[in-house]
Amino acid sequence: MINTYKTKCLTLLSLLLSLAVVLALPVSAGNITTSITATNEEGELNVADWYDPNDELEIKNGVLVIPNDSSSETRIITKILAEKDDSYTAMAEVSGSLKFTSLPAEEYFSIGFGLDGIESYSEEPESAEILFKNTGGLSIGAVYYDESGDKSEVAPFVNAGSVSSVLSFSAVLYCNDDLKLSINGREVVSAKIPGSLEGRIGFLQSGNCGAEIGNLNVVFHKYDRPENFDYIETFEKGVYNEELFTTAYYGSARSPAGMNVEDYGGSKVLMYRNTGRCYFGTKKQYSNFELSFDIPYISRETKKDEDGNIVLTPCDTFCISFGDVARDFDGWQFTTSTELVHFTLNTVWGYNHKPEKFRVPYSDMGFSDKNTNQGFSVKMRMVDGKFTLYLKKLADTEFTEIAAAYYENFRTGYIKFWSTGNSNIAIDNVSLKNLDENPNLIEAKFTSALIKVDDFKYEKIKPVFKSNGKEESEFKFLWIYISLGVSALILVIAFTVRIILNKKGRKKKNENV
Amino acid sequence: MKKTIMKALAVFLALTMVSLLSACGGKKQQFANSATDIEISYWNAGLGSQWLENMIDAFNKSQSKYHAAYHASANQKSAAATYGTDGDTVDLYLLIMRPDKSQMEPLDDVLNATVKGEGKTIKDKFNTGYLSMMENADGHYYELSYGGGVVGIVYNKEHFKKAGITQLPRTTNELAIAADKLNSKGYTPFCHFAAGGYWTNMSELFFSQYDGNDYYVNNFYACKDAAGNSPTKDVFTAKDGRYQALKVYEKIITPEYVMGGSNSIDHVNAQTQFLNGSASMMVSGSWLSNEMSNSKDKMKNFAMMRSPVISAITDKCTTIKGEGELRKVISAIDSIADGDKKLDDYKNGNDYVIDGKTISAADWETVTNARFSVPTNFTGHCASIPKYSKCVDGAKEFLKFFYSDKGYKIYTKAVKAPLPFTLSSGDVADTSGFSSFEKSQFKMLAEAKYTPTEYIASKHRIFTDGGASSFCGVDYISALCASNKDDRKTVNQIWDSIQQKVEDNYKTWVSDIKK
Repeated sequence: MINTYKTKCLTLLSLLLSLAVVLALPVSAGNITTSITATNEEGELNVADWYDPNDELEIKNGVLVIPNDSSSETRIITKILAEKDDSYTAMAEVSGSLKFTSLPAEEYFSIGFGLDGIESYSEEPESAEILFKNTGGLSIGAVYYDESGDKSEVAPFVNAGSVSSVLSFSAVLYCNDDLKLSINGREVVSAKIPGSLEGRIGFLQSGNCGAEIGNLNVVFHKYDRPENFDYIETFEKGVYNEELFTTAYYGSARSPAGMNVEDYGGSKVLMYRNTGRCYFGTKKQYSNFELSFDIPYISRETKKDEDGNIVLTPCDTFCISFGDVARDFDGWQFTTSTELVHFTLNTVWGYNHKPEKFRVPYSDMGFSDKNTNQGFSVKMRMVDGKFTLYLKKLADTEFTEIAAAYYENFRTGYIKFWSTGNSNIAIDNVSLKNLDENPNLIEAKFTSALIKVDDFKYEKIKPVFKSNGKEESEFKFLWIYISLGVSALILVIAFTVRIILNKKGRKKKNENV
Repeated sequence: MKKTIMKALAVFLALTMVSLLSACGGKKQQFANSATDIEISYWNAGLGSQWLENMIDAFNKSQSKYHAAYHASANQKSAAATYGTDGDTVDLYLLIMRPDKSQMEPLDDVLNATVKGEGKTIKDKFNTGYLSMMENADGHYYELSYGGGVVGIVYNKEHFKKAGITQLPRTTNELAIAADKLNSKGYTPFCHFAAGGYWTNMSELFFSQYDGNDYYVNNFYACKDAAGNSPTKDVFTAKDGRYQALKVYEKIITPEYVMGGSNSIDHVNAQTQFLNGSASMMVSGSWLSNEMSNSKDKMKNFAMMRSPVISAITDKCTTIKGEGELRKVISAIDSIADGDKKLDDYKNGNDYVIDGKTISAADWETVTNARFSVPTNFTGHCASIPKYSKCVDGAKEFLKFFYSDKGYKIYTKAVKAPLPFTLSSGDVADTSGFSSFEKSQFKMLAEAKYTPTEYIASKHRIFTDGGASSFCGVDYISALCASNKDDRKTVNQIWDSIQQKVEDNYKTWVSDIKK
């Protein structure tokens, strides 16, 4: 019996919690915001996100140092690309503090946008640069290089103060190809670029420019929209759709065991029977999604065979992982899954290498009868990092929210149903929906996961034994004939001797009588 | 009478069964332990047995004094089980390199022999860089290779074409560029298998390229400092080519560039996925086409690139400044090797000139040596003769046959992979009918000046007995590309781990030598 008051409180609490979290923190995948800095956690140059082609640059006291004896080869470029999307207005934002230690009159320093490769140079075709020049004072303007490499000034050069002063800068690249730069809070560059600036961002120069860039931060916006399917797997064909799903099985401590499509309760289900570590997973990645499935059977009992061996146990922990980096994992890799929702018979919790996201003792909520092996239905929604978990009775149509959490670093990835050991559970009606804006859906074909193996065609060959390069028959029939002959001869001789001896014996006996 | 008949029947059946046994099973392989019978114990590590059967067949037919036969095991320990034991009858072992040479027969006379009809000694046919790895500290050779292969970065030609990569990476920085281009086109640049895969071979390459082969063999692996002190902790604590190798990996072995699951799959799984297009590059070796014989059609799309030169080598150069100049020098060196240009096209007195830029002879040689350093694992597959063998001369004759032109042809025809020597004419073996991948192995080895590998005959006992190793057992590859951020390490963190291991274990390594 559902405790209505308790459920309502929990639901309200979860809603309030998730609302607070969403308001407080930036959203993430499908809508992903990636922030990169010049330094990593160790205080070294962040080579995971930046490429230093000439290995010249270094971090000193948290500041990116560009040496005074630089050349046009001295540059640093982001590995991440700025990309346009309708779901946001700004592709990228670059900010920090900038102090020139060398800016000769005949040279320039620049922030480049729309760069093609991690080794790009200044003046690359189809790129734009915000230029910093020494014209007696600091002058800042913007130029664009078209596909032929011809340069055009897209923002006039303006006086921005002294060359030696420390500047606080913020540059924003918009999806409508606007490029703006503010220095110390004042807009000094506003340019309309006659071309797309999707691509990398870098700090470039013509040569001999030295600078110190502090608190460097580049924020990229992206909408992750992986190609995938909306699909409901009912298993009614007796097999799962191999076009969309994959499985892996790593053994079991008990027998009988297996993970197969079976008949249960008048329907076909994917049955995990005494399974060890195994999974049923997607072959496509999902960003924003809704996953639902039925659990028509979940073991709550122990059964033994006539010899006392345990052949069935209550279902141990099973998990649903999402955001997995790889489609195929080995047996223990559920422990390294990005995100994991654990179910035991009593509790569900969201956790994996991070602080626990939620923990709910769902077995008291009345979604299934604890005295039978009947299960319940589960639904999960992930939208821009906001995760919501719902349960319902199998026969019900409406789900009840039981938990919500915010996954700030959630990434697109694969989804898997894991058995982590001693699972006795069936799943059915696995429904996947892509909840991305403008989803990248493809048509789901059906390919049976049954492996068909043709009979192996072989030819019988005569076994050949080689010795000293010669072929010899392995079974020496001649020896058999000889052996039989010798055996027979021995017998004949023995019989003859016996008969002769018997005759002699009888004769002697007769004589004695 | 009935009793008599039954007894007779029993005797008949017994005699028949005994005689049947003698007719069954054929003739068992007998190893006569004599001065003319050569017993070979073979560790079948993936080369198959056909080449050895063919070799033995041909050897036995070529002369009448000796007779060779073999037994094989896929398990190295089983193949080596009898070595050095009382009653060991094996005359020739084909195994992994063994650090203890005390019971081995020197093979100098095999190397110094000239096979009839050939114009040079067997030694002269061997790659000099390889031989330098096989020379023991006492100046003798106790082992010579019977197998193994060239190691390098194998790449998917179709992926490279579709990613617009027209220049194969000449430097490690250029390798990072290629990885970036592949990644931006939706390809996964790299895959490997558990515990770093075959990247460890490339680590030895980059180490040797950066510090030079002389330091690599005669200082680091001799555990000897510049002043000649040995053993010395200094070789382990120096921020040498090992550190620079880690800096190379920092740019390319990242979670974004490496196929998920690489840190836990086995090498067959990794190779299969690679050949199926799951990744664009994988460090592998000559054995790839043999081990993946079911994927022979797919092999047509794969090739091995020349060893990229570690970009940090410019630290060691006085006239080559920066990545751009380094690439030009490598292109010039390649053009000579490929026959497009001659040395004189660049030579200017003692120096070289490339696009108006003067390159010193020393820098040219440094980069050339690096470019034509080819990691191999030949030294991991060694033939040795126990000195207590009753058929030492016979075993040596077998090796001379193996290393003759005729023997080499038998080997290459069956294995389709090179050994570190050439025919007496100086040519590589006849590779007609070989795949382009297989042919490239021969070409790469023929060009090789050095063959860096950790299996060095003269390496100090601190490595063989003490337990030291170049990276102290730290799995840096897994640490650099761990999908879980908590498990991921930076280069400096990895280097610190290595140094901690040195600090914790150096004294034990040294004391273990003395045991």
